[in-house]
Amino acid sequence: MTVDTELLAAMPLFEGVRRRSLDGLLRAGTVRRFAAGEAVMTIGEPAGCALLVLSGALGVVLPEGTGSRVVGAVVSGEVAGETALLNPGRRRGASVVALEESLCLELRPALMVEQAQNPAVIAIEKHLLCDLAQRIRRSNKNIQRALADEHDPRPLPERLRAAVETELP
Amino acid sequence: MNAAEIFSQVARLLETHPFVGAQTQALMAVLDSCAFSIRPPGHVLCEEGAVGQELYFVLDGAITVLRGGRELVTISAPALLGHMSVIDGTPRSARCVVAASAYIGTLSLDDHRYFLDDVGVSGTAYRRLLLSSLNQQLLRGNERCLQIISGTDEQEHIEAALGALEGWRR
Repeated sequence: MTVDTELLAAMPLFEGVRRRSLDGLLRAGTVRRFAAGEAVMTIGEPAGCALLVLSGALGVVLPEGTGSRVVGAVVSGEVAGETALLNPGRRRGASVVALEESLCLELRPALMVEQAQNPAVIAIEKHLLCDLAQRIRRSNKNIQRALADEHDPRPLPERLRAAVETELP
Repeated sequence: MNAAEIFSQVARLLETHPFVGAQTQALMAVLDSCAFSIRPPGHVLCEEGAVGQELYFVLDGAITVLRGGRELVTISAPALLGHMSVIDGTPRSARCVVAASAYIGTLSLDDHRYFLDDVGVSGTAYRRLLLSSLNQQLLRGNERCLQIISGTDEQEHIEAALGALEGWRR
């Protein structure tokens, strides 16, 4: 599947990255299209790749009772399943489904090695650094809020679970 | 510490924070940019609320992390400290005090920015070490919190959850 480089160039995380670098990233990766509702990642399976969302939106899903629940969204310009790039083989902590028709660039560990010096890959790494730092801080704030909120009628364990689920890696 | 001992500790640090294509030698170039010093017990490495101007490679000794005067954890070398504040420019979330005489490599904000943009192997190793550390911090914090939730005693939940903040526990 071919994707126009301009789609990547329009993303804030690739600001200042030359078209030829973005071309290199697109050539090295695999573009995948997911239909709305399609399963993208499954909780418990070994993490083999991350996905850069090019268009559309993915939902992070956790089991609840006999069903499941969407606890967060990953939108255009964001990365889902980044643990696979750092610790490949680690089990997925959540499932991911396409919330709408979505176009994603598959990022595999081998690509991160082969394209390590590509400014587009460096841009992804820098974006992920800020993203992870923000998610850790948000998670901490959520936990603190959950502990402090005496007016929330839910039991404390339920409040804590909700506090951390929104920032699952 | 001599060069061989530093190399050995950096290799151990990479075992703690693994990533694809990790190379000790590549990270050594980052360590070459650090200012090294021995800090005695009680020395305050960084203050809670201060803006991060440097990050620390703790190569020997141990550091106690405190928030609001409350001890969160004591971390033994090798360890990376103070990187969150440097990455996102927010105030430091904890106070770090030397618990056992520590040999520390301090990387300045300028050098951090240099390696953050570096297209060479050292820049790659540096960015991915930081990524691995943050990723593990988030995973550990969440896992710890979810473990706590599966407990039975509500007071226990609260105290343990406080300890899990920042994912400091190893």
